[in-house]
Amino acid sequence: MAFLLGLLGGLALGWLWLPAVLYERIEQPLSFNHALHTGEDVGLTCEECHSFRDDGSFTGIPGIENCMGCHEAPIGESKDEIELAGSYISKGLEIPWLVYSRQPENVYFSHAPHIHLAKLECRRCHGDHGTTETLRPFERNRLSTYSRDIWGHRISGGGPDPWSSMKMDDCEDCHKDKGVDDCCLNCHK
Amino acid sequence: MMSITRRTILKMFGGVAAGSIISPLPWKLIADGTIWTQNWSWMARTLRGPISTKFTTCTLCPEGCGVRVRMVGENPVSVWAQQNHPVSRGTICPIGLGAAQLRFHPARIERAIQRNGSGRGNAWTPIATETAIAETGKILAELRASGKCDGLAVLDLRPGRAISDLYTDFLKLAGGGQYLTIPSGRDLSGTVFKEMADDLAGAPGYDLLHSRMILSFGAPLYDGWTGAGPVPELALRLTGIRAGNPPGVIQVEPNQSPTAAKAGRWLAIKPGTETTLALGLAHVILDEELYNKDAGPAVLDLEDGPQPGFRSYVRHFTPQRVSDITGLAPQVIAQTARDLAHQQPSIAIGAGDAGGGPLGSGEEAAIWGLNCLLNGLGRRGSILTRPALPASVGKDSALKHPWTLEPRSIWDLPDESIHLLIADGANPGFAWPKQLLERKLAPSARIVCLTPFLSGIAEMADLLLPTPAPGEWLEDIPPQILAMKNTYGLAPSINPAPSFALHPGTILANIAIAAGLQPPGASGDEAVERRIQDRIEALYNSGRGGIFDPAATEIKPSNELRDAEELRAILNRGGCWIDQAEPVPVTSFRFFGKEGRMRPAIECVTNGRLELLTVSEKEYPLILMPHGSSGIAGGGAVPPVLTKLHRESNLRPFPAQAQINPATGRKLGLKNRSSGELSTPAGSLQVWILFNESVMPGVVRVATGPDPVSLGDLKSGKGPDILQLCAITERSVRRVSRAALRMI
Repeated sequence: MAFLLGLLGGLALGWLWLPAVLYERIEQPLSFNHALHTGEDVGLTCEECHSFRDDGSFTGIPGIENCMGCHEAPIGESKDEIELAGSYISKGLEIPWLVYSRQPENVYFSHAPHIHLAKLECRRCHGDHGTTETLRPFERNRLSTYSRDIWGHRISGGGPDPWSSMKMDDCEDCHKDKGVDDCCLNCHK
Repeated sequence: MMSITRRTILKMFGGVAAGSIISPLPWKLIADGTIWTQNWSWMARTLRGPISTKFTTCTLCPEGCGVRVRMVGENPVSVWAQQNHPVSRGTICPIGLGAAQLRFHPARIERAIQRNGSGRGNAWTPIATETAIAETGKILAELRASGKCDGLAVLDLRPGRAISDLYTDFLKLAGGGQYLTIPSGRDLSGTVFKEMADDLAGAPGYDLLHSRMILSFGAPLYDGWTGAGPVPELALRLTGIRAGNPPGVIQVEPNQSPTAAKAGRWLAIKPGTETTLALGLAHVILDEELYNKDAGPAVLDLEDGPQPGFRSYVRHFTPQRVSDITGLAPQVIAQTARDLAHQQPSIAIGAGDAGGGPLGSGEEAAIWGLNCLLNGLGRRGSILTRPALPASVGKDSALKHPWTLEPRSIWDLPDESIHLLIADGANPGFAWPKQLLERKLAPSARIVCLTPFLSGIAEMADLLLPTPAPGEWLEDIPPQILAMKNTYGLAPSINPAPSFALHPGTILANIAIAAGLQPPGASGDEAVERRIQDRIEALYNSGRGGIFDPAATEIKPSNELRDAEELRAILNRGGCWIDQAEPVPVTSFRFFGKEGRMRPAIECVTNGRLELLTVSEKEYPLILMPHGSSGIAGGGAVPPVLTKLHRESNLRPFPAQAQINPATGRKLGLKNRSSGELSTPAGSLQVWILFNESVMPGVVRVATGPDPVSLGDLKSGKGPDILQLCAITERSVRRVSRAALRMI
């Protein structure tokens, strides 16, 4: 009985307690509504904000100048809208977004070959992020300091969808499937 | 109710342990804990910030490749080749590729350090920079007071830069001393050419881009002659980027090196017999009248005069005799000579390799002579002589500054003549024997090295003063030796130097002040800036050449620029000035050099192999041949990523690996992958024996360069230095030595 109780306790530690304490939930600086911006009212396409520069590099998350076109003065009276205009746009400060998919420091990732050459859709790695109505809290691993999205939301790692995790194994699997020759320097420069 | 006993608690802990193991707890903690150790505060980490690109020029070795640097904020994070750059033509070596890591290299010196005791041990003690400078100044003052100013020397491993002018200015201020360099194989080759070409105002260069056939005497054209990989001109032609067939390459080399394997024809010559082959080829060309004496410069000593002419001299080098000496079939020798004569323009290339060292004066003279007989002197696709660069007029005076103040070869100094050596910490890109330098030092000599890294010559120094690393200060890149065209580039500072690093010019000025001298005008970065500005104005005022701008697709003529400032601006953003001046014609040529000065060098090897092979063959049955790639062989700091690849992939041979042909190994009773001792009359080293089919029977091949296992470990040094075992003759020729290898 004691062993069984301990066993259950051990399982609870690993499956319930660990995920609760390992990740620190941090709210994004502003709540951004992807669905609204890509919906009929605004009608933006993904590429209008997440574009490629002339030199082929990916712009990633758009800078504040992208927002200025419409939000130089607050549109509406929501708290986020006022903060966007007052705290960032009027001061020329970038919004310190917390990037769910940011890879560790030792990884070099370029969007260009994945989009232009491999023709991958954004959804392949980022899931349905482009249709969300709000931004979920960023979950920061207290030990590794990386986003929970890298390991995967399940504490056991990975998940059913291709975008469930973004570990080296996932990159290697995809490269293998697509017949890409790998060498260390491709990603670790 | 269950009573709680010690057994119950133990069972419960056992259960917790069992439960944890089948949960993610330990596995996730191990994975995250591993990453946590990579994020400790003292680990080098890339700061977040805006991403930008900077174009600049690599200064890790003398080649001056154009590079594109990816910046995050003010931090360089990766380095790439700059497409279409006129020098590197879109290529980059692994050292350049990892250059962004060098700031964090474990061998980086972050404060002044001095060696404990007077020996050349490996223990270092920190010392205040002011104290180090004061001590050096004191030695200089003593030398001046005792009238021994000639005992002062500045060693510049990359002469011709703007900083080089500061070194000579320092010597002038000190009232004497020697401005020295260690010549490379290419330097030696160029020097020999100038000895043979009468009244030549320029420097020779290979036009590899337009040649039809290349005869390479051991130059690793496809693997590390001007950086790792093929030389840019050949790479361009091999990849079909440039229209036209790639040239036919004939590689003359005892071992099947990567270049020999890729060449159209490999002539597996016996070690040390290159001169004989070159003279044998000359014999066939003259004997079969394949030489057109009206096509090139006037040859003044082809026929007999007061002394036997070249034609008489090579008469004895019949294919059969050359075959006996070189081991090549007579038909191969004759056919090679015919091919070179018929497939023109063709080039014969010497200059040695970065690890194996120079070929020697005799070999170089024979090879330049062969080029003359191939009607290649002054011909497109062969040897073109580039004119001197326009001299600049200093802002502070009306004095004209020549572009390059010719340094003296350190090998020409009398032994034990240096009392204070101030050494520049630049990586020369090639290996050189430390024991030759040791000979030049007086017993009480001090070496002060101005360097960012504890590598190369710094390993021999008594006192190290930290300077900025490449990319942390403004440098200029003069033309390469044996390049077809003059080029000039700048490497502006792309990230600020740390506070502990002092500009070499500032250190010299402070040493002068400590010695009681008064340095005039600016020092450090400001002085280098002035020199560079003078040079740029001279280039602009000459109206010569064009400027490659990374932002444009074409080379713009310099005379279309508004002013010198525009030229400077383009150079500052990674551009490159390239000379378009007509080659200087070679009007006359002497096979034996001016006043027959090359005759002894040619004669000393024409009886067969190099003299140094006369060591007892019974005691030393093998021939030791060092080799290495440009940049790596130089012993400078190489990026950590390269050392990791070294360790994990055997991408490059280690300096401790003795490669030997399996048949020779078995004959000597050696086992593959076993420990051994490699010995020569000069000493012995512990090595790792590796059987390699590509090595000629009877040869043991060992790489020069850093040992990746011990790299970065300041206590253990940089691993074995194979050059310590080599028999070294004049001007550091050491490519063949007698050696023995046994298992231990």
